[in-house]
Amino acid sequence: MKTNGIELEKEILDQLPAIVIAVDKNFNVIYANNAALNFMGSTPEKIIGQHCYNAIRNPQCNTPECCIAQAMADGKVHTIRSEADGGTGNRFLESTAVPLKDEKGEIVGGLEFVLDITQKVLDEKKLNEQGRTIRDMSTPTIKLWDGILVLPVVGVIDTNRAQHMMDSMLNKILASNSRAIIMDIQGVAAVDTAVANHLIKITKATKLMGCECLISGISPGVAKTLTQLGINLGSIKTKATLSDALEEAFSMINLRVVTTEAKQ
Amino acid sequence: MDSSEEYSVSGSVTNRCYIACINGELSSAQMGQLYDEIVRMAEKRELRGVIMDLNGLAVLDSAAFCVLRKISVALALMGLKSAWMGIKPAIASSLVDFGADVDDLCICLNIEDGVRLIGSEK
Repeated sequence: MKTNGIELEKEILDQLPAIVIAVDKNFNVIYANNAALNFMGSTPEKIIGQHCYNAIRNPQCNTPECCIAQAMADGKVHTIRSEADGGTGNRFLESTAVPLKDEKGEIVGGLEFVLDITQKVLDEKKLNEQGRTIRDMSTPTIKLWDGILVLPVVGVIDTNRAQHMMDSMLNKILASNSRAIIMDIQGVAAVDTAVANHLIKITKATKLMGCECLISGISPGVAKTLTQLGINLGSIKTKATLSDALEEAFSMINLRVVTTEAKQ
Repeated sequence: MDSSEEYSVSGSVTNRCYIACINGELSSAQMGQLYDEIVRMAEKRELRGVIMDLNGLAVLDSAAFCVLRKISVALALMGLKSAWMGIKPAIASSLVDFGADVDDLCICLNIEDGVRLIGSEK
């Protein structure tokens, strides 16, 4: 291995696992490292002086999305993600382009380096799927009776979750033609102004669908906090326990629970 | 009701309830037409109330919401009850998002529910 000079730099670049390509202002390749040559299945003799879009053939080539073109146009760093078939199944690539400048600072070409981020993309996908699963698990709208739905809420209610709860409830109301929905907030750790606002919004939306929303599971502590914060739940029907709310819901759909005589 | 199609509002009467199906997009001209139609029917058929079926509406902005509200209020002044029906989930959540006042609206689940609602309380 050489110890100094341009040769050393070239050897270092050649051993880099990332693809590195440099082009001049007319998109003629002026440099490609070993990884780039392997990726294109070419040799330096064949590729130097060629147009880069003939050698690589990305979907972004010759379009305004080409990051080298963007970098050369505005002199800034651009990054894009693309999908390419590298022979071993679909690979996800992240290309970063920087403008090449001469000593006067004028742009004379572009340099692009490409990283294989397949593993990262797959991990991100998995994470998104898991997030969706958790979200679905956290907002189970259950049919309790013909015309009565229940949504037990556990944990923290933030804006995102409130929106998801609302969507889930509204769609379920539409699908099941329910006249009452009980939102049980027994498992909600804390109810503050923001959470109360979310609850009010949800009840309004269900009302617009023609379904009355009852809120149950209001503990003494939560009731105290709500009054101390001066939150007016207005016309929303609230109950202490789920069974109270269910009784109310039964009366709304003209049902009544009666005790039958005990069997002898 | 010959001209009702071109205003994308069509209606029928059952149990002294006028059921107005509103389709497409709402303009104030259409709403005026709807209001006139309902008032005309109210005199002729001795209506007790109106069910406004919004199932065919893809979007409902604040202006159209206000117009619909005004119709409900105007009908109430004439002693007619009005019930809204068939609001889609997306419309419901967007109405709530822009803070529409829904407290004194009467909204029903289906026509059966609406007929009962309009017929029952007096």
